[in-house]
Amino acid sequence: MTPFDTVFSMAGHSTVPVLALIHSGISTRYIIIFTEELQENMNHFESYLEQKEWGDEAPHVKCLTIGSIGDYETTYAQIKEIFDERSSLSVYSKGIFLQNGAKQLIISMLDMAPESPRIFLREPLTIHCSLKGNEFEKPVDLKVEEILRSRGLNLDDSGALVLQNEVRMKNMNIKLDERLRLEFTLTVQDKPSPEDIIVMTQLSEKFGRNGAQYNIVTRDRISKRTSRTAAAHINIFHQEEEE
Amino acid sequence: MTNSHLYCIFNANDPTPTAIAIRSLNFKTATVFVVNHKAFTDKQNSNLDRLKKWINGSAKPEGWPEGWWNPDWDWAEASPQVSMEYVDELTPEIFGNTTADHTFVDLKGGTKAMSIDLMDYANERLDNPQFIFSNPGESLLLSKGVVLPRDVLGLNEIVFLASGYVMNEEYVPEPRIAEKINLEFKFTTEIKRKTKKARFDGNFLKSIKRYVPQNQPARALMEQAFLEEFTSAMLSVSEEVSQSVAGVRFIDPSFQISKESAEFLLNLPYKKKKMVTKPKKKKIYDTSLELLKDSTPALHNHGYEASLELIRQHMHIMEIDALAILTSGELIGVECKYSSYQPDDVHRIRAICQRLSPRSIPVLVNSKLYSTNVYNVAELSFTELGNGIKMIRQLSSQAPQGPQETISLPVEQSPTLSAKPPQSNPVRRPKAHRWTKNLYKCPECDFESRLNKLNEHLRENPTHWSVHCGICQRALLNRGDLASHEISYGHPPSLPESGLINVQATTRIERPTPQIDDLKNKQGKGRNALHCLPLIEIAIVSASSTGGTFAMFKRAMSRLQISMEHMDEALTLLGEKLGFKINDKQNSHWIEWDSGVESEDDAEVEKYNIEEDHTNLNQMDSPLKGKRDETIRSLLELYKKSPRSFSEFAGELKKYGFPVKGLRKILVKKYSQIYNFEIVEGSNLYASGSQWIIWK
Repeated sequence: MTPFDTVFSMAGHSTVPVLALIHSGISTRYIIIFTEELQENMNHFESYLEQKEWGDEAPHVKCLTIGSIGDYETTYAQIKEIFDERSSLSVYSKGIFLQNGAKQLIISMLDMAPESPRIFLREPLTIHCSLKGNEFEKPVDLKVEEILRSRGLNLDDSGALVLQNEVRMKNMNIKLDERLRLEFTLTVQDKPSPEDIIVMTQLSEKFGRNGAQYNIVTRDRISKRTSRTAAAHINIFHQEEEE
Repeated sequence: MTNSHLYCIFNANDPTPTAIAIRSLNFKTATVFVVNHKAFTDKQNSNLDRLKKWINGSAKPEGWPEGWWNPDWDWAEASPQVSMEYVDELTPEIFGNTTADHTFVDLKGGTKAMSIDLMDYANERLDNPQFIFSNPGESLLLSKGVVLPRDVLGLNEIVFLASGYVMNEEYVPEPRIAEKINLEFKFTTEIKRKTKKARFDGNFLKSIKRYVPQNQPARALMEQAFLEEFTSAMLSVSEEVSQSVAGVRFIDPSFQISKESAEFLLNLPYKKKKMVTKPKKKKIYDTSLELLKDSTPALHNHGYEASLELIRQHMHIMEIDALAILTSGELIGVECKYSSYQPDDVHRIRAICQRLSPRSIPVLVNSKLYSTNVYNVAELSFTELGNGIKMIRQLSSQAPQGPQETISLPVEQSPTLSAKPPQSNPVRRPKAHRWTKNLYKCPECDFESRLNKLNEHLRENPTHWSVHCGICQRALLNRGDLASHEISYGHPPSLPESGLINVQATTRIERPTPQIDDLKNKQGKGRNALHCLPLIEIAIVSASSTGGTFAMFKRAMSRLQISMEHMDEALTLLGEKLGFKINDKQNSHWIEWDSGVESEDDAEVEKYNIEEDHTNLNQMDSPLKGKRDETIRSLLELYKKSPRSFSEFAGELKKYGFPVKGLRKILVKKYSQIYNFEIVEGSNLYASGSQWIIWK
């Protein structure tokens, strides 16, 4: 039996927390709230949900769109409406997931349901919550392909990442690291080019700056000009050639 | 009078949100919790030090000799009385006792977990706490869902908090002048090395009382310098901009570093050369070098102000051409380039902005006629500064496009074309022989170059190309343009993919003339031209009336999906019917109208009108009038599908046995509005002298 009837969550730039939540089995229903800036993410997420084969107990996941993150008064009213519609549920049967989304919206959610059980994601990929004084944890198993699909990307038969413009990234390694964080590693034989930086930047826009690790491993020194274009969250590692 | 107290968490990685919270709602007192200070890194400690300096209203550290620090570099002290509370962790006990009437808790700073804890403990310990979230330019009242607009911090405060630099600006636009610049702005275009550049219009410069040198190089230098002020002025008139300055120098508050910078910059040979041109300047310059050698207070108490000012102007370690702060708290950092520039210039402004603030947007304002984003930096044409902030937002939100793409754009390749090069053409201009198959010509002007250059040219001059986005009117040259249009310009192209025309195929100089056994034409796919004569007729008439070239005609055929395979036969048939021939000219005179063919009919009609037909159409009896009306209408319906000359129309009507005297007048008066056409003098279409029915 699942502890919650419904869990509310904001969607953020990162996809892993929400994926972990809906795979945790802690509730039968999940309401994921996307701001209009994340509309594209929502479309990918809905497509992913449509294709997903859950097995015996498929959760009911509902995606809702609210206004812009910049229009606080509207988003506040919309979140309130979402909560008010489910006001008949008992406080303890509706949980709020506080790990994803903009802080101001999470806190609004908390302000609207101060007594509701709070749910967090802890490393490594573990859903953590406390209910009526009891704390429990639920480790989650996620596959890389699953995470990529939730943002509209795929791997081809050879395991290469297929970007949305159909470009295949054969030298991109994608895995969950030891802390079960998503990690993209692009290995470049020569000097990394501006295009390499652009690919990583686009991936970080898709999965969030903090939603994954973005690494470029190069055997050659990167030019100053190219390295300047890399944002701080893109790590560039120089690897000496093995003799 | 009530008093209010603020509690907030020090944001260790960037002190700006904490400063914004302190300044947000006119608090009388404020408590800043510094959580787990023992674990702070050097950078976090430096951030804390910066917040303390900001609270005191000056970045000035110890060690500056008297008179060297400019008081204009300071700002107003923070209005609440601020106390810093160092705590190991957040607990309910941290709040202590307060005598304030209202307590506010700002939840912006710290991690999500910290904010949630602070909220819980405040609810536990405080009496009806109000939770707020202070953003730049606004405060969110979280418990009420209300937004209160607030002033943002000053540009110099934001710069200091985020980067640690003191700001020394050279130009602050006066609102009245900025408004005039905005209203009067005009530009002209100049072609240099076949590239169009925007230039400030001379009359515009005079209208804002700007001295315009007659000497060309001097004028170019003046305009280059003016671009910085212009950018700053244009940005300042935007409602979204709260402050804008130009010629900004960033000074490290450390006296030693600033002094060394001044020594270095003032001793640069070009600077020395510039300074010794006039005796007065030289004296100021020499004194400034002396002061830098010995900065003991005795030397500079009195009479050295000009030299000290010169030193201050050279104490910076970084500079930027224009800087603006938006009401949202974001900074716009601008590098201005009036002449050409290199990718390094783009990267430099990006690096400077990254160093300045995480909330800064780099922009390179340039003199191109279009704006773009190649390296994830907005490259904005100064001609678009009137709408600058919107453009910058649009460009900055784009995903960067690969730099190679903009230099050599992918062009659709026709397999047949690449498989078989076009045949040599005897009517080619001599230049084409030198360039052989790699030369392409703009359909509208004399620009000739290789394909990638032609693409650039067509992008800079979108009116020279016939396929545009219906929303922004930018030229669409290939499928790549269609794919990237939405990313680049924020909207999908309003053009079906089938509407694209192959640039390579249609602009090649070696294109064969429309001969019947034209090899190139045989590659075309689509409808048989011989089956589409009415459509081709419309295109011919349209090309004649608008001065369209053969290239344009071919593009029209492509859009209509009519193959060029049997086009020669079709044109020959139509030429016989309508009276024209096709020559091999590249310009708009590729259709030669043969007035003789038409004039026979015309003359016959005219003769009929004048000599034989004495029956006025208006004098006909009613049943005949009804039949004539029906015939005219059906003929007009037919002619709508296939435009013909007025004389042909009159001839047709005559064949049906109706008089044609006064026909033109009746057509205009009775039918032209219903069917939406006009009868145009032949001279407007071609030199045959005939009249044509043209559908609007």
